[in-house]
Amino acid sequence: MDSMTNIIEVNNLCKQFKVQRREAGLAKALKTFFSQKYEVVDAVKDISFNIEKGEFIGMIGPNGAGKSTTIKIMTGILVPSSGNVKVMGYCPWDERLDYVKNIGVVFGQRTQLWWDLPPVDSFELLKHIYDIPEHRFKKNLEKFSEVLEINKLMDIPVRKLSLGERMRCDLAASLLHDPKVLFLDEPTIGLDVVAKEKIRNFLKETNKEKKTTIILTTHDMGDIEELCPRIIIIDKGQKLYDGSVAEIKKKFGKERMLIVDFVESIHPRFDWKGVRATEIDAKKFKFLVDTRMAKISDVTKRILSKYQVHDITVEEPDIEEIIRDIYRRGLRA
Amino acid sequence: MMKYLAYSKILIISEMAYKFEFVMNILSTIVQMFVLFFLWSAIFSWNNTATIGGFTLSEMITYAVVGVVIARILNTFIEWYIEEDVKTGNIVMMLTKPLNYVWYNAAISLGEYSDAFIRTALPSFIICILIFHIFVPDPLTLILAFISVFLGAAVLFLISFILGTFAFWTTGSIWFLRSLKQTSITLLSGSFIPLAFFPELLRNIADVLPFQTIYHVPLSIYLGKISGFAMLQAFAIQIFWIVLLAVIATLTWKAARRRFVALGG
Amino acid sequence: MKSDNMQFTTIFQNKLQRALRYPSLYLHYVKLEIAGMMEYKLDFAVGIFAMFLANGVIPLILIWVIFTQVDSINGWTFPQLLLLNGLSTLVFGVWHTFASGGVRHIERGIQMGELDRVLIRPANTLIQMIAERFDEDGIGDVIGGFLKIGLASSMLSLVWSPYNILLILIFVAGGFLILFAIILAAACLAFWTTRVHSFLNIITNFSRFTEYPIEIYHPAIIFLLTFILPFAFVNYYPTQIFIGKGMHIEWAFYTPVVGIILFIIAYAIWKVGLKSYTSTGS
Repeated sequence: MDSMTNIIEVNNLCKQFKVQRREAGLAKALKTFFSQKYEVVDAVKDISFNIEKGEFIGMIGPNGAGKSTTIKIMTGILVPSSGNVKVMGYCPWDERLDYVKNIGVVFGQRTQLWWDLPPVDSFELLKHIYDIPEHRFKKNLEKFSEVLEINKLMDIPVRKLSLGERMRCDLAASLLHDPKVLFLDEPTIGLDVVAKEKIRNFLKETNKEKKTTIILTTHDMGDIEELCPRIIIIDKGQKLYDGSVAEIKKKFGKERMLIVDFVESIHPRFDWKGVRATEIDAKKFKFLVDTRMAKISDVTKRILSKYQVHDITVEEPDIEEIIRDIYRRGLRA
Repeated sequence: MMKYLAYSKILIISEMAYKFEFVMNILSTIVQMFVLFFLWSAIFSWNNTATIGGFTLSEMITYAVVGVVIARILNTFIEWYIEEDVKTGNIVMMLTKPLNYVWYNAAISLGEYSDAFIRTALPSFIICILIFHIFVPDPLTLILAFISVFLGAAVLFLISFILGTFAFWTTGSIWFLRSLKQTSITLLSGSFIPLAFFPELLRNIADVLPFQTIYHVPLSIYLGKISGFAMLQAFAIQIFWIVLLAVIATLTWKAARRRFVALGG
Repeated sequence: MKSDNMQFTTIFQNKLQRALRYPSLYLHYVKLEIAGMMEYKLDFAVGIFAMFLANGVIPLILIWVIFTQVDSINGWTFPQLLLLNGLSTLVFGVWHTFASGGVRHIERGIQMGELDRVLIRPANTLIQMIAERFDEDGIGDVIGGFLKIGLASSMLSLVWSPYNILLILIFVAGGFLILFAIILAAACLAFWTTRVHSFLNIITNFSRFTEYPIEIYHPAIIFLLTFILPFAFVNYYPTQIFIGKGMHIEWAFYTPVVGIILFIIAYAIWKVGLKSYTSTGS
């Protein structure tokens, strides 16, 4: 990978936190007033990756995995214990003022907008803070208002907006200054299907048209499947996987699912190697086939030969299952 | 009755955890007192008089300092709480519980007063005695003064409650009303300067308002400025205001409740 | 993309350019705040009026009442004391309006992780914090201060020549920096400990010593107020210039100097605190 095209380089990133131990009870609480016990926690353990300009990366991992910590380091608001990060040639935490002009950030849990102000005022302020030329500001605002459908929300104080409405405004705010890199920390959390759809489309368009490099952390597999050609899986502070979604399905998706609708209700015993059968109801069964031990075609043949079947569907491995599996057992070829 | 006291107790216990704040509050109080101590000492020494407005230096310092002690007890935010209840809709919960809202708030106030008394006022008072050598009256007078403080606190609570009910008509007005209340108290209650100092017009105004029952009366009793029959009169005035304000409070609460229910809750 | 070799002068130029933007940036926040308040015109006026009453009119009356009983306090007559007191109110009013909201909010910002929000933006974090919390109520204090000063001036036949006006502007600016510096430094404790709020209250209470001529205090307190927590430079030393008497009249001119030095120190503490914040996260 040519380092000239890498817009983000993360090398051997480590971050440790000192966590205070709080003791319960009044007497113990008084004791901690004088002496405090610390525990050292490894939030991020030696993570490295490179990202090229224009990529759309999904970062997934369970809660507390270190995703947010990594994002915070990359946005410059957290200093790592060791390792280095270069984004667009900047060291985020050392050159904050110069660096931050070129990035957009959306924290899903907290709004970047001013709570008591209507979005239009927040945008106005951001225009001044980021020194956005008037015509570019107008153009972007118009475009975003249309695509994200926030025109009607412009004059309502942010605190009165629903989560979905607020998120769309936050998204618009983060891109007003045409940043080259966009960081999103759980942007679709708590949103309904319609809102998610709007946001995903917007992100897809932004990435395609403006070639904005986008890094997205999420729990939502739907985000991943729709948006991210490449994902990085993080758990317990370490990088477990860095590659495409398709590959992960190929490599780790060893199970396929057969859903069979039988004509009559049956009480069978399915004792076949590599096949796990679960009853959905008397006439419907789910067969989880471990493709390393049994072939789909063989299983299908056996079912068809023994029973009268209404319908059979074969389903792709569920990416969520796969990933959960990876969390549980770590990487194994 | 007990159920209301339970609220008071909860308040006291929840506040006990903050040791640092405790020390800081005391320090803060002492700083305030030192300003007054030096101020009055300077005034008296420069003017080379034994008494000003009928007060000796020792009495004046005692007046000012004990005034601060009382102020520490009477830190109340009942208007805010009521406004908060209305804003958050919590008031609905209050209306559906078998509680009298006035007594409920009174219990909270009692809890806050008691908490402030134990944690800030009492220690400050003891420190005053040690540092400033303030005048301390005989036990009987002390108890009577304490009762008077309590009565004054009741008056303050009632005024605050009445102002708080305005939240049912307009939120956002509470801040202003509270400011008005505070400034009236500062000026007319004798908290900082004895009413005896005031020119006639102001004195007359202060005398007919309830604010003077909060500071002027208890402090005067403490210093022995009023005793015997005059003290009984003073108590009577305090009780008069309590009764009058209690009636007004009940009326405004009833009106507020009616308005609230009429508006659909 | 940044180039790897930057001359020192270009860095300095950059910083200067950036710094020059800030007054107008701050003004934009103020415009927004006022525009927002204009919707609640009544609240706006009421807030200012309440402050004016509480910090302007009432103390004025109380001081007047004291002087109905005595002629002077340590040689300070009523108008002289009023001038001293008024200058304090004025400077505190300016502080209240422009910076106190933001500085007092620092503790909360640290605990709630709100500093992240300002760190993510390409502007000085401290300026963002104080600009966001511009408090128009403080204008009431400022007006109250003017009232006291105005009254005192007329009683003292004090003429506000251009020279005097310039002087008082310098004193107010210097006094503002002193207040800003001391309370900012205290607020920065929040980076390393909790419950800074009550500590801030003590400091503020301590500053109220200067509402009266500091000569009346114990020498230790005078020392504290002059050399440790130099609140005395906010109003005491400057006032002497206008009434022509007091301890160390010339020290009035040190006010802006003290302000600048203290502010540099406080700002350095703020920077150190930010470093700590970005190392420990929220």
